[in-house]
Amino acid sequence: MTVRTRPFRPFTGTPTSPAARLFVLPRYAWREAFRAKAVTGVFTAAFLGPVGALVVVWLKHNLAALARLPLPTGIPFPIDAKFFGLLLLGQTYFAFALTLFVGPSLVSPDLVNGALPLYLSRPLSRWQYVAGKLLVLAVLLSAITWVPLLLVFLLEASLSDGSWLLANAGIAGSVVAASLLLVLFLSLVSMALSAWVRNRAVARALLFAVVVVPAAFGRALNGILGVEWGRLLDLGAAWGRVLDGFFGLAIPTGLPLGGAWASLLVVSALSLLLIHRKLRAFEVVR
Amino acid sequence: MTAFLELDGLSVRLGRREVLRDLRGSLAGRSIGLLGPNGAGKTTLLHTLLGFFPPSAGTARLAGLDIVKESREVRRAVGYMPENDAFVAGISGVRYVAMFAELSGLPRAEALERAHEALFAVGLGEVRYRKLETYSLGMKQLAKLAQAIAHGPRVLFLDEPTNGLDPPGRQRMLRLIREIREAGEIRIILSSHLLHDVEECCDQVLILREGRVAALCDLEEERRANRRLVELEAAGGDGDFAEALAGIGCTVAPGIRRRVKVVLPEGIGPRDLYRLAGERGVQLRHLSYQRDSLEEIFLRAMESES
Repeated sequence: MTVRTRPFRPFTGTPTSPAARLFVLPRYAWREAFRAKAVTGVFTAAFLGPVGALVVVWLKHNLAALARLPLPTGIPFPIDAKFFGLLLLGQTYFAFALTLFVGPSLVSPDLVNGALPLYLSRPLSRWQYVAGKLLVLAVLLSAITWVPLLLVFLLEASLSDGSWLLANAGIAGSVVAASLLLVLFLSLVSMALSAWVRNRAVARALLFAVVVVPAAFGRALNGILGVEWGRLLDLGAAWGRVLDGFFGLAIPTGLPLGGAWASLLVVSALSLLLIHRKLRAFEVVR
Repeated sequence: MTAFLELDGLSVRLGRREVLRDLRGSLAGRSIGLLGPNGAGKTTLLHTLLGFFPPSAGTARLAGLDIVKESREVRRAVGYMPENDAFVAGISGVRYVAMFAELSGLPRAEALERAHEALFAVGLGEVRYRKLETYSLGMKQLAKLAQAIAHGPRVLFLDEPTNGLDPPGRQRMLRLIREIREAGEIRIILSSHLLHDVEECCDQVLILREGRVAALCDLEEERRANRRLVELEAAGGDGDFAEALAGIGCTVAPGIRRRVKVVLPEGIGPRDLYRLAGERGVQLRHLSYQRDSLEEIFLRAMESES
């Protein structure tokens, strides 16, 4: 390739829009993320559940195909809110695994390698940088949560008669709302930890610990003090209770719905505060 | 010449410390040097111009843009090469430069094309597909310069560009900066504590000391003035050489060791002095220009402040 060495010419074209610039960060980050086999593996495996669900829905409405399978009673469960809730619960594990691999690499390398001043010396605000980095995970997690689940919903709606859609229209909203809550929560927490400890491996361990340690601590508190609110520290249980609220899964978490929401929102707010404090071009030592 | 950088009572407070205090001045040079000892506030001034730190009082205008009200436009116009290591882990040189060009608003294809050009221009063409982590310190400095120029900025901020470079690397960096300056498309603001770097690359200098403006100096003007002042040592002839010099309009003052200092009037140059000496049968054994170097200007600025 012939390269013209005329580097000192001004740019006279039309600059790209701020929205287009926002997607520059995720585009480069995805390319790096998918170089890791673990990320590709988890991302691919995450589609097993939704693909299975699509097959189940199709079979349920395709009696000829179903007759060839050794299932004398057909598909033994209804396609209802609980079905979608359990599907989303399953996707939560993949979402968490993907966050463990991708989340800690979001901002810690930029902080360690001093790249933040370079980003922020561009026409890009600090919050646009944060939004760009959040999009990295948000898009990946969306691709394995609400997007495939909505496909399942649409397939069921298209194969059923109109009465199913009328009776279950709220499921689509619940799928999107619950998934977005999960996506936002995981993205914020992983980014905050990554910004805080500035080390990929430690951030990964800490992200795991954030789910496991407070849950154990909460159980210990419950045991020692004879209270129930210790369960509020268990983020996994809180998420289960929120899912229960959306889809009526009847998971025995022992948590009030408001408390579960508050638990997730407080952790998200703390993460946002940590991001605000830590992600700056330069830290001023007072 | 219209002012390119105008400082209008700019003060910056970081925590409890006032790092920049009431900076005032107007600079119009193609290449402006920010000079000062370590901790003088040079880097803080660059960061404030970039909008990293809000001014606690006053403001500044860069290329006609207010750094507070038009911060985004300022950053669109600027290419910034920071002092410290600043790279993105895991990506190649060409992707690093292209990504920052895209973030500056260039379309994807043009950003990539310019990234190749910029890397070739700084001498990293052959290693542009290597990951940045594998670059030597000198190569990283050059890569930082490439990302600062790739998007075609109107202004280039260079913060200690020769930091950590060996002598050949330093020479190469200074040569590149001079080339950029001479190309005439980009204005340069170079921050350094190395007088030689500033002297080689800049035509105007803002000297800072403890967050204040210690001196504002037009190096081009100084160089022109210096060219008018020569030191001569003459021997032989009829002894009236000083009178002859005065006769062509020079001002002559006695110096040390049989030397005289001569201020040349407009239109008279060294060639005229040799011609006059030849006519009078005088040997010119020494002729030198006064070198009021940046070092002397800097030291004077430091002394006057203290």
